[in-house]
Amino acid sequence: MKPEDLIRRYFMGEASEEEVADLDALLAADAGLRRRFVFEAGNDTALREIALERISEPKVSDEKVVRPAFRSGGWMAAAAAVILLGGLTWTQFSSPKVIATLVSSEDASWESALPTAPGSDLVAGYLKLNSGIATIRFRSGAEVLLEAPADFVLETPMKGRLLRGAAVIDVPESAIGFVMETPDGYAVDHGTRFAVSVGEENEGTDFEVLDGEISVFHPKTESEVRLSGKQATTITSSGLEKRDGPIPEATLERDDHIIRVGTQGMSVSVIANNDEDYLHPDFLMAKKSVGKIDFDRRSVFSFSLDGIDIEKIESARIRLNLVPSGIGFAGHLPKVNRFSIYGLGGESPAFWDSGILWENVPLPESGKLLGSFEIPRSQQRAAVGINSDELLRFIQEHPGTTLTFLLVRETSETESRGLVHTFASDSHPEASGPTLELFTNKTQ
Amino acid sequence: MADTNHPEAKFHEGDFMRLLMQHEPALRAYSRSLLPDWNLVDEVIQEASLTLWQKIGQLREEEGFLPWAKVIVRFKCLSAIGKLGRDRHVFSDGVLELLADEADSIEADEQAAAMKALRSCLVNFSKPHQELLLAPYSGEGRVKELAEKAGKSANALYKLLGRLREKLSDCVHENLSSEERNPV
Repeated sequence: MKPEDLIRRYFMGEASEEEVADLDALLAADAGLRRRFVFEAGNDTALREIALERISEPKVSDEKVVRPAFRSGGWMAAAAAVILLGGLTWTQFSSPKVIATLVSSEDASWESALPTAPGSDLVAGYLKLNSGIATIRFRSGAEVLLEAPADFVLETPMKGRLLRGAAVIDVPESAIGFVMETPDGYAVDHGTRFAVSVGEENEGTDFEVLDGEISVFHPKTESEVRLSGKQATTITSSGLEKRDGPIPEATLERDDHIIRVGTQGMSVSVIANNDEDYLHPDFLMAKKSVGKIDFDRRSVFSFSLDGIDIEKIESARIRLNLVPSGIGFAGHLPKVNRFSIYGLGGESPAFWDSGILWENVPLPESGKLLGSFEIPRSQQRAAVGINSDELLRFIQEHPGTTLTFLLVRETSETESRGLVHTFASDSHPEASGPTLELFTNKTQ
Repeated sequence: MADTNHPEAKFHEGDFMRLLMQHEPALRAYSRSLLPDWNLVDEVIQEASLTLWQKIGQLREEEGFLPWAKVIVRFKCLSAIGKLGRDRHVFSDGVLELLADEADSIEADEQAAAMKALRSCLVNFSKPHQELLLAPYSGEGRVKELAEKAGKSANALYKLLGRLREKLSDCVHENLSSEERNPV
């Protein structure tokens, strides 16, 4: 047997005792063969690393993701981190006082250093509710039902601060005196149910009593108003205004001057290893790996401008809906991830029909950068997109054509097997696919 | 372990983790040159990582991490083999020392280039062949499974695997020597 074959059998675990002894003698005598042996050990290591990566990179089609008990790259460091940190951190901090419990959450997505699983004990801190509804019960008994999008600060068992969003506060007798602060003023509760809604900048805050009595204070003007029954008040930075009766239902402005264009199925993702098992027609994917690019993903989509009078368009926006992917670890991403959309040109691309490959998609460099947006790693659902002069110009330069766009994640993961970002395609069961919104002049 | 950081050390926990992650593949390859199977490699690497952290105070320069870590890993490997006894198919002490010296001489970037070359060689194989090449590491019995799926004997598949590995190794070799001739 050739010495090379012996080495191969050794690394494949097939060598007999006799063969190992033969190899031993050959290695002792031949420096070149030792070099070869060490080279093969490196190949064996690289192959194993790739094998473990492919096991742990879940395929989209897998219903259940089975993760192996061991890992390649990073496994050792992760194990070491557990060993090193496990016994250390807990001794350094005495546990802060629990002031509330997260009672329930419905479709809630959070961005928070506090625990966000229902039933979790909450200490003082900041909660950002990106979507859904959540109920927080303070230790005093006060209950706050938060509606997304909301920024909320838990301060003490008797005090919370709503920076953005809407909340309904239920205060039993045990929690009379509960304070709800907002950027413009605060309410003290005298045993009641009331609603707070913090508007966007300069829109003021609405307090509305649903049942019982509250006092609302406006510190800047040192004014105070006591509300009961169905009374309401709107406070702004300049003062407060009491109303008798509830705040009227808001009306929605009708948008007659927006033209919305969908992709009509012209959207697809590509992956660098061209292995379709890692793609899914419901999702447009974006991923940038650290190091090797086998699992990098990008997406392309097109909108037809056929029949649209470009002259009337004053601004343009591309909207995408981020949906949860469940592929990879968000913890392996930077805190904020940047995405870019490139314009690829105005001709109708031939690649929609079938089997689009990574190498068929033009590189970002060959397109025109039209805009970027950011998504925090904690966010799983969001409406995102771009609204730029570059986009408008790109559209104006290609009237009547089918425009094709490339979506890429510009920031790479910090460790392998990071989260794959997924955006809804037209076939996604819940969220809508990419939309091009064209705004015409209102007066026309 | 009362303190997260060694007060006298130049490298703190964050640095250590980064260096460890960066050089983990090279340390694995190093251990594989000396140890007869992957289970043993995993054990040794886990043990060594703890020792490395405990002794991080010895390290003066970042560039010195890999050679320093190799010394510790070498020691762990040899002591693991010593515990195995002679019933396993292992090399003689003399050959192990020679192999360790050879593995010591491989620089960090050499190792990284070889791994990169293997990645680019692997994708040139057909999908079933890639799968077969990776099968031995994808769980017990995976090669047999593939054999059943393909309606071939396991023995035939192992033979094919041997040929594929030879081809892959030739490709890596070729790739590296052409890079040496035309450095990018």
